[in-house]
Amino acid sequence: MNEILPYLPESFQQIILRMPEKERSMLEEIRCRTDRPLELIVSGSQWVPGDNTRMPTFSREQARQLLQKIGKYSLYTLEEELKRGYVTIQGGHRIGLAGRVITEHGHVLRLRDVTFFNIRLAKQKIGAALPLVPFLYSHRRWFNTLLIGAPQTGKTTMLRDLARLVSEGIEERYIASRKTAIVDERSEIAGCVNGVPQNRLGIRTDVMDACPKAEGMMMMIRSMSPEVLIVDEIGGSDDTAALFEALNAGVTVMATAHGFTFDQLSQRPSIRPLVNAQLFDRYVVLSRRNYSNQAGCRLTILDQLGRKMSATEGIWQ
Amino acid sequence: MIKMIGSLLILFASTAAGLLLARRFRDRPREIRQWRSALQSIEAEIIYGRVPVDQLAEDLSRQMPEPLNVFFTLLRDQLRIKRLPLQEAWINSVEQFWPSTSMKVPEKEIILQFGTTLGTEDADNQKKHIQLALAHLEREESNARQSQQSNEKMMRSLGFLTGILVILLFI
Repeated sequence: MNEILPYLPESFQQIILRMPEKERSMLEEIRCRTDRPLELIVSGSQWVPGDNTRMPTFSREQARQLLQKIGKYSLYTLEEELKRGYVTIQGGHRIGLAGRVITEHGHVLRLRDVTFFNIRLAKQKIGAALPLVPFLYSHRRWFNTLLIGAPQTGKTTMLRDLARLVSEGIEERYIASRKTAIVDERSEIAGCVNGVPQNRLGIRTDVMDACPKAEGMMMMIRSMSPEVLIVDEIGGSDDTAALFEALNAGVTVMATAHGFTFDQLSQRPSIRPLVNAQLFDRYVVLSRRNYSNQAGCRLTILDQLGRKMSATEGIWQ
Repeated sequence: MIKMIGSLLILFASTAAGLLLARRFRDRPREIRQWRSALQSIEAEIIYGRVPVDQLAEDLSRQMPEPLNVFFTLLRDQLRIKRLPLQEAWINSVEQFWPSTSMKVPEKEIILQFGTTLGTEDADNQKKHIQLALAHLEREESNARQSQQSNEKMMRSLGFLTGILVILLFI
């Protein structure tokens, strides 16, 4: 939280500082849209201040200043980020950007007038993946695992914690630590700033930050000899080829993919070959649940043929 | 005897004043040249290293010779310690730095103008702005050299001669 506040305009800081402690700790997103009032997302829904205070409006000048602050007053350092549409800042928080796009030959060159900001607060949930461990570890090896879920269901959070568990090992369960490699195309798992992970990922983790997944996976396998390889959001056909390569190279792969159900996912042309070849030993389907305003998550674990093994539910925070 | 001492004092003072004035003419082209090399460093760092401005200021405050390193130290402190926005920090630093140098208003305008564009564009446009500032500075430098040639010697001898004149008048 303290890393985010200096970026925001004074009036926005006041609103957030005046929020009740409990809600502030569950703040997920701070959304700033030019000429529109500030929007705060607390545990999945919009938060309205209790005492009838109006949310301050985000002015054009403030948008300009926010972008300048994000780039440390050096916009040229953000070129790559303006092309990808998001920035990772100290603490692993992500700021999504939108606005007017400049294209060249039909490809996005970069964003020019950045008018929409979505500050997603990174909250590492240490221990989130613990309930999964009995299903994903057996006979001294981790299973190849695919986490399936819609956006905002906590796939990445889960994957991050899995990465941590794999690289730290779990002493109580006699699980030894493993060499872990993360290919972090969107800087979301490790949240690197200048190549240094901001999240707790265990001591035996190597991170390839902002690297295209397909190439990154191959680079990691060749150069870093990982025992477990972790990638986020597979989906392209290049990814599939690289995954085949990795899985056949004897490296355990843990990945996530967008999707609501296993059946829906296995219809996707790029994923289908992986499912058919039974390369993944376990599928974990995540879906979001709300328990009286508390964000929670339902985990369903499927075996390599897609048969249901177990389901657990958990409340976060 | 007292007359002697008095006239020597006058002569000394006016010569010193002349030398000081001459030095301003001598230092100005040199300081503009320093600015040009600083801008060239900035350009290289931006294009090849994408180094943010606060880091740039830090590096240049160590690399640049006197007196320009003072400017970058000022800039760095304003950015890092006072956490001012770059534009404001730039203007403040220029205003604080300028009186202690031999440079004049035209260079100051160029540097202030350059400050308004620094950090607001992508690397390509940044390069164009730096090139523009460099071209302007080059012109000012050649102007400064010309006025150095015509004025530096004159100021030095003028100081001495004025001293003599005043002494003769008093005697």
